Amino acid sequence: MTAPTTPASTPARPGLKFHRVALLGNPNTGKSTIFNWLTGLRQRVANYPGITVDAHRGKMRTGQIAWEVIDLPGCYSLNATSPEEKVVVDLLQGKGAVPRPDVLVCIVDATNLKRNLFLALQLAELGLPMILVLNQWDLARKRGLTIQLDALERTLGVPVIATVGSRGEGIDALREAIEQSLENPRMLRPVEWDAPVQEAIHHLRSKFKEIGVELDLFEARRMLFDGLHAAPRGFSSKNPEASSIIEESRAMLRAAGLNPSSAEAVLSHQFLSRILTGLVEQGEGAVSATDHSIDAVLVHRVWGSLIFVSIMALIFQFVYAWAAPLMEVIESATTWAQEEVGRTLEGTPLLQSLLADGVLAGVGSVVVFLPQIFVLFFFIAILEDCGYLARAAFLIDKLFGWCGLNGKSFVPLLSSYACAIPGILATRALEDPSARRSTILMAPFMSCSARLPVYVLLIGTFIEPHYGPWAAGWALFGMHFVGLAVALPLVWAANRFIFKTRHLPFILEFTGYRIPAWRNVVFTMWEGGREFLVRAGTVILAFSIVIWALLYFPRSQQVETETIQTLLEEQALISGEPVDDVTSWLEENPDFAAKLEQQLAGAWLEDSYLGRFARAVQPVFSPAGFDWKITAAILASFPAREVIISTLGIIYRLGPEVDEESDTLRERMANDLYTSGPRVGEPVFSLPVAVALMIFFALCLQCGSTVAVMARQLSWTWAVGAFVFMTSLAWLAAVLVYQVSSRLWLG
Amino acid sequence: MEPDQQGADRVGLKKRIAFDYELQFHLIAMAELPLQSGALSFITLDRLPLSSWGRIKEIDGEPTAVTRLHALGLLPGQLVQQRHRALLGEPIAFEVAGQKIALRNQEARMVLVERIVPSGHQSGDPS
Repeated sequence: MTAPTTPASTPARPGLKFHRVALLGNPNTGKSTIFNWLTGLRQRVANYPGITVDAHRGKMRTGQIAWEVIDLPGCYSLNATSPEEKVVVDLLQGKGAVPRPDVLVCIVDATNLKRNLFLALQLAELGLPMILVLNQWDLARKRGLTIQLDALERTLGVPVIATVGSRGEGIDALREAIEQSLENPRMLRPVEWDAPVQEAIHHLRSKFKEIGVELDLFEARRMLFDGLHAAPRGFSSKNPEASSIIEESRAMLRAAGLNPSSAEAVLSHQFLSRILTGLVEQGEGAVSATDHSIDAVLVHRVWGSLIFVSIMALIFQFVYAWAAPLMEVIESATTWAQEEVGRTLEGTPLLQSLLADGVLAGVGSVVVFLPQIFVLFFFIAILEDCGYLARAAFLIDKLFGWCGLNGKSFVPLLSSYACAIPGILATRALEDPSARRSTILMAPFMSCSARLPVYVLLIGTFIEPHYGPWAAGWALFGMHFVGLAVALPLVWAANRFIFKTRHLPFILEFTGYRIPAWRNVVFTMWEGGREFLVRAGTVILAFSIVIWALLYFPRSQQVETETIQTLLEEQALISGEPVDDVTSWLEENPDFAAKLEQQLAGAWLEDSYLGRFARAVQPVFSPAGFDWKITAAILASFPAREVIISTLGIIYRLGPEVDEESDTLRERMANDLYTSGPRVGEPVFSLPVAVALMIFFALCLQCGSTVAVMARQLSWTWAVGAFVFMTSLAWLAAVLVYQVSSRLWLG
Repeated sequence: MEPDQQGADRVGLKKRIAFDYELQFHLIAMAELPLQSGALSFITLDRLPLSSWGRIKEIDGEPTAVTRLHALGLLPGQLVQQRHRALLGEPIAFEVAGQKIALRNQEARMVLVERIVPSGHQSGDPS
């Protein structure tokens, strides 16, 4: 079996001989579980060009035949009125970059057959071979639903396979059916439309033919039921008669007593009821009594809300605290590796620094996020699989609805308080593309844990000593809401005035409660981690190497000689006797050697391209009260904001190992005075400067990893746009805070 | 969608409710519904009280939302029961067509239902 059976299925590249099978189905039918069973780990998330929705692609083999399995986003219908459903339609018609699939597998929830089959009926009109999968078969049996599979298969005309996704039952039968569909393609029985619909469709097609447009049956039906929405962009301007033809045919439906916008659904359901009579015996009440009693507590106005807050607090605590030991292990492993490299490559300082400070630091800064990603996705997978996530979104939706987000934005935004990266990856749960985009753009505004050291250092140095621990505590608390307070109105305004987003209906389906399948949990964690490592990791590594080079070069010999000279002269002044043999003297005085190293690191940083650049752009930051040292620290921390602490450590001649609790660093910062320029003698850091710096950090997108992940989830345009916007906003806010507060303090 | 078509598709909701009110007597006469005379009323779904039942009359509004609701099984003639309302007034969860679905007020307002009070639940009604 080598040649494709349908002419539409020519492979994209002539040399590649594989067939395509597309999985479709309503959301929450266990579609991804089936996909995972079919493909195993041989899968990846593919962003089709120009599509904002994720489609997973994987490989599968049946006998001698190679398959590509495409898992399309879950949808309830194929109506052209919804943009994301239109994307699926285009893909199935082969209009996108990918050729049409050879076979469709429509996955339906056996416990809710009639509603799920509506999508299958719409798919039938595409004229592709289909296989119907009745998933959650065990649940349907347990609820007392009896479905006669053989009779159903005869009635619908396509293979019907019962599966239990959580246990992998029926997967082999499905594989076999997919294989056989090439030799024996079978189509789903289409809806037998009433005469008025048939006449209207005939009218539509013949009229369009008169103006030179050939419509297939699928397109004609979509135009009849969805109106001009179904037409491609620019269609009506090219064919001015189009809208009147469509309106004429819709008027034919109206004349027959049908409402054009609901006719399809109503007639399809009538058709289904007719053909399913006797085949499907719906048990008493499809929503089980157990589910009702669980909901009575979990969705209760008071108890439900309390439980929700507790669960979220617990997850946040786990992401924050559980991941910490693992992150420490990764950090100390990185440090260990850096030291090892340092020791082995002592003779070649350039290679030593490139490997230790560039590559290893870069790899470490990527891998360190994995524990948080795994922990978050562990909980999300459990909550989603057991059915709670939809209830959580229900409880919180009202708080987010007003600004264009929805209840499903909550978990991503909450986890962004630990780290924006797992948060952004978690936005996949949002079906509405515009709400998803808004949530992704908002995530970096949430005060992530990497901002904490900056706040601790600055509050500990400039607020606590003067205003006491209470003020410090409140300042720290307040800093965590700056980003949220700024972002919410911005998102609202952007959705309202700039994007003018058409609000998609927010509809939540409460699926039945069930015990999570561990396989799904592991897959979700694996996918989140791999996505981040492979896609974002490479970009982050590149970022870190560039910043390393800017900090390392030119590393002139002159700076080194001068620094040693100055130090030795100081030493000579103190001890009274000059040093002759520098090397042996350094060996005898390890303290002095350490001091020299710190001085040298600082001098090199000042002389580096980044240091020079910081001096050059310092005028830009001076309205915010930042001197060149703060500017350099800000610039160095663009790949990762927590780097500011070690950069300040180097600048203040303490070496890169200082942390935010370091008393020496705090002391040196507090006592640092301007040595030249118009403000000579004034302290470099004043309270307004410290506050402006914290505000800058609260609002700025100083995280290469986040930018890379945003680019992955949206596009590079969006990611760069967000970066430029947040940086400008942070600058503006810092200037505003500094100018206003320094005037208030001085006045 | 073209403006004239829009006009034809969307007769004002208020007008229709008034029209339906006249129809009520005919409906009773046809004895299609398990209703008692005092209980007949047409309301939008967002105003259906907790635990009470309604029968969907029709869904009208923005086409994307209408088709989405149709696809979820909210069709004329279906029975729907209000089950939960979130703390801040919305969304509202309903049981309809053997499943539980939550809608915001904006979408629930698009669904016109006929309130149903099961017979026997009304006390003190002389008829």
